[in-house]
Formats: sequence, C-alpha cells, structure tokens
Amino acid sequence: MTRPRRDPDLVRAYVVTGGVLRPSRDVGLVTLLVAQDVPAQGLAPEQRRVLGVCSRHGALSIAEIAAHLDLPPSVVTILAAGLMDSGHLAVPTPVADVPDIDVLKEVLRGLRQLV
Amino acid sequence: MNSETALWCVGGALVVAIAFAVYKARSAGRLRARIARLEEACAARDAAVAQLAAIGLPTAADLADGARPARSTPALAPILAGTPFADSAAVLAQRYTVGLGELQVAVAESVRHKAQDEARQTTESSVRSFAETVVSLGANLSKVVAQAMREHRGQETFETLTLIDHTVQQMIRQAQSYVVVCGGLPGRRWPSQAMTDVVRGAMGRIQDYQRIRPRELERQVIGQAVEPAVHAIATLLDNAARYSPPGSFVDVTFQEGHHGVTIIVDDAGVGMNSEQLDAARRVLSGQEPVDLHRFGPHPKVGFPTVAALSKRYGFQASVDGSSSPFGGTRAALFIPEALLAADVVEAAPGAAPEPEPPEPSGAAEVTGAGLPRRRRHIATADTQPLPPILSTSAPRPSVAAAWQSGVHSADEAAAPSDPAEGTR
Repeated sequence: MTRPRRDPDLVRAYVVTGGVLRPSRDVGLVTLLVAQDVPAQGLAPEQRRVLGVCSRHGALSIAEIAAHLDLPPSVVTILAAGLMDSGHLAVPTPVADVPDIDVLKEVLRGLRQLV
Repeated sequence: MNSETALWCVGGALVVAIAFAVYKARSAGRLRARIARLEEACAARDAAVAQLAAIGLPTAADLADGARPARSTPALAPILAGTPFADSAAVLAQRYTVGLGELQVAVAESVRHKAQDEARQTTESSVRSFAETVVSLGANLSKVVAQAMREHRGQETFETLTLIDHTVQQMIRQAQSYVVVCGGLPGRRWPSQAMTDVVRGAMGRIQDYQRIRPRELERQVIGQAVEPAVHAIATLLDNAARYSPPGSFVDVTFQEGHHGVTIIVDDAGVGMNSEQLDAARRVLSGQEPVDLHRFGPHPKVGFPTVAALSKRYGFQASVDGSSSPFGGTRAALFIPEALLAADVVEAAPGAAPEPEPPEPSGAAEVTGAGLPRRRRHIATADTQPLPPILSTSAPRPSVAAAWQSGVHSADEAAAPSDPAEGTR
C-alpha cells in the first residue's frame, strides 16, 4: 500500500490549527490523552490524525502524538485542547476506576511466576 | 519648228524644276520646324525626369527626420501636356510619394515597437529577478520558521512565529505573482500532494484564511503541478476573501470529472458586473496579453498570474457571476487528469487496520526513549504498528491514569524548577 508523502511545510501550522494561536485549556506535553468514542465527523484532517493515533495506541502524551504525526508540539497541544473541548479526547481520571485489590494481587503473583 | 519645240521643252522643264525646288524648300522648312519641336519635347522630358529625381532623392533622405514626403507631381512643360509621357510621369510620381509615405510609417512603427519591446524586456527581467530573490529568501525564511516551531515549545513563541510565518507566506505569494507575470516559473518544489493539502497550502498564503471553508479530496496532484496549483488557488481565494464581507465564508468544493478535477471557490461578495466579468474572462482566458507596462500605479497581478499559470500548465480558470450559491462570484480552476497522480491504492479490508491518515514510517526508527524518531519528510506509512507503549488492546484508561498520576506527582515534586517553562 502506498501512502502519499505529506510535506510538512506546505500546509502551514496556523492553517492546521484553524487560526487558533493558544490552546483553549492547559495541556502539558506529558498529559496523557485517550480517544473517546465520539463520531469524528466535521473534524479537520489533523484532528482526525490525532484521534486516529490515540485510538490506535491507547493513551498517548502530547509529545508522543507530535512525534508520531510529525507535527510541532504546540500545534498538537492546540489540536488536543480543541478535541478535549469537543469531547473527542479525554484525560483519564483514576477516581472510580482503581483496579480491585484482588486483581493487583493476581498480577503480582503472575509477575513473580515470570521471574 | 524644231527650235520652237525645244524651247517649249526647256521652258517646261524649267517650270517643273522651279516648282520642285519651291516644294523642296517648303518641305525642308516643315522638317526643321518639326525637329525643333521634337528637340524641345525631348528637352522637356529630360527636365521632367531630372525634376522627378530631384524631388525623389531629398525626400528619401528626409525620412529619418520623420518629415512627410512632398506629395507633388512634376511640373511639365506645356509641350508635354496630354502626352502618354505626362500621364506615366504623374503615375510614377504618385506611386513614389505614396510608397515613400508608407515606408516611412512602417519604419517609424517598427522602431517604436523595437524600443517598446526592449523596454518591456528590461523591465520584466529586472522585476522578475527582484521577485525571484524575494521568493527564494522567503522560502528559506519559512523553512527556518517551521523548524523553529518544532524546536521551541512555548506558546508565546508559537504565537510570534505564527504571525511571522503568516506574513512571510503572503509576501512570498505577492512576489511569486510578479515572477509568474514576468514569464518566470514558480520556484518551489513539492512532492505530490492531496487536493486537500493543495487547497490548505493555498489558504496559508492569504490574509483571511480563517474565512475559507475547504472540503476535502484525496486525489493527488503530481509534484510539478503542486506549486502552480497552490499559487493559482491562493490567488482565487485571496480575490474571493478580499471582495466579500468580513463575516462571510468562502466555500471551496471539488468537482471530480472525467477529464480532471475542478476546484470551485464561492464567495458571498457583491459580485462583478457584466463588464468586470467580461474583463476578468478576457484576462483569465489569456486573450489579453500580460503587459507590465500597462499595469499602472496599482497593478492587479492576480488574474494575469492565474492566466499565465493556466497557459503554462494546462489549467482552465473561469469566473461566473451568477452560479455562486451565496450570490457572489464563483471562480473555478480546472486541473486536467494529466496533472493528477493515480489514485492511492487502499489497503485490502481486513489487513492491518489503518484508520485515518498516514503516519511517520518507522517502527524501526525509535529513539532511546521509545519515541519514533522525527523525520523531515514522510515517505510511506507504517504497515507495522509501533511497539505499543502501554497496551495493544483498546485504551486502558485505568492504567493510563495510574501512570498519569505518577507523572503529576513527580511534576509536583520538581515544581519550583522553572516556572517560565509552563505550557502557557
């Protein structure tokens, strides 16, 4: 399968962000993001690429997304902030979903068996 | 009797001789008069020919001064009046003066054209050389800016770099228009690009790019046509945005036809009246030759640029005052099949799941930190997914969250290191 080469210089960064110069929320380079199951209709190509790479790799940080997509980190920060606003991306919160203690014990046992 | 007869004979002969002599004398007189007349006529002819030569030559010499040749018929002696010679001389003189006049006009015209051509060539080559320098410096600058955006991460830096970049892109477009109008080639080279990116590349070169609403099309434009297409579309977009209200949108759609793809730009401006439309069509179709000298003090190089690019690359540009759904102007650029690459071959269904877009190839190229190594150009997509960092299966928010909270607590521990390094 052949894929077109994308020249990173042809489409300028401000076109990619749609003219947004600052992220709408505070997102750090190491902030982990997880794709949510929301239809990706109406999104710009790069927003879909961000979503695509996130859903393929589980959770990714901004820096990792930038590296995967060969985009400047600032651009990914702005795109990700927008996607978080629209509910396509979320920062996973540990509150209610902490693994059961038994599961952890099982994992520990499994790990010991491996060693 | 005999002597009388002889006397009569002698007398008769004498009479005859005298009569003959008288006759001869008269005849000689007539001949002399005729000879004199002929000599006179001959002299008059010589004089007339000399006069013709005399009025002819000085006039030819006067040509350089731009004086009109004297339009005269030679003055003929009365003796030649009505003769065929007089008629021929008059015709000859007439032809000569008329021919001389025409020659003079033709020479003047050709001298003027030559001077104009030389002046145009000089102007064109100097404007072109200047504009090419600006384009080349601007292209270098935009590479530097793109690189800086990757290296410097502060959002303030990004804002400033973006403003610089936007200005540089517009500067490049303006300069490149002059390059093209002066007969040059758009200098920048790209690999083949999707129509989507061609249009978005064009958006980056105009002031009001945020008002452009582009559709998407994955058809590929071949490398050598990318820059001319981007430039032509940028010109049409700039026109559409410039002549429509600031709050309105400019829509870009695609029509895939049998012979190529048409990019359609619809604005909601006041539109053009029929004279403006006619003028624009004449320029776009290349009927009106591009002349730098006729641009005047406020040159409009937009449509002439599109016309020049269309002529060179085989695009077809058109404007229409009635078919825009927003009541404005519709501009269209047809890109022939020859400038479009073959369709991208899609992966067989069920093969490696490849959701959206291309991604930097390189499961093999991974940095020490486990991240893909950055590459300047993306050649192919990865058929082999990157080694998963957390999980190969669906997102595991719980695991991610555990990692996240660990990172955050580490961040907090190292908090007072450098407050200026924040993301804001």
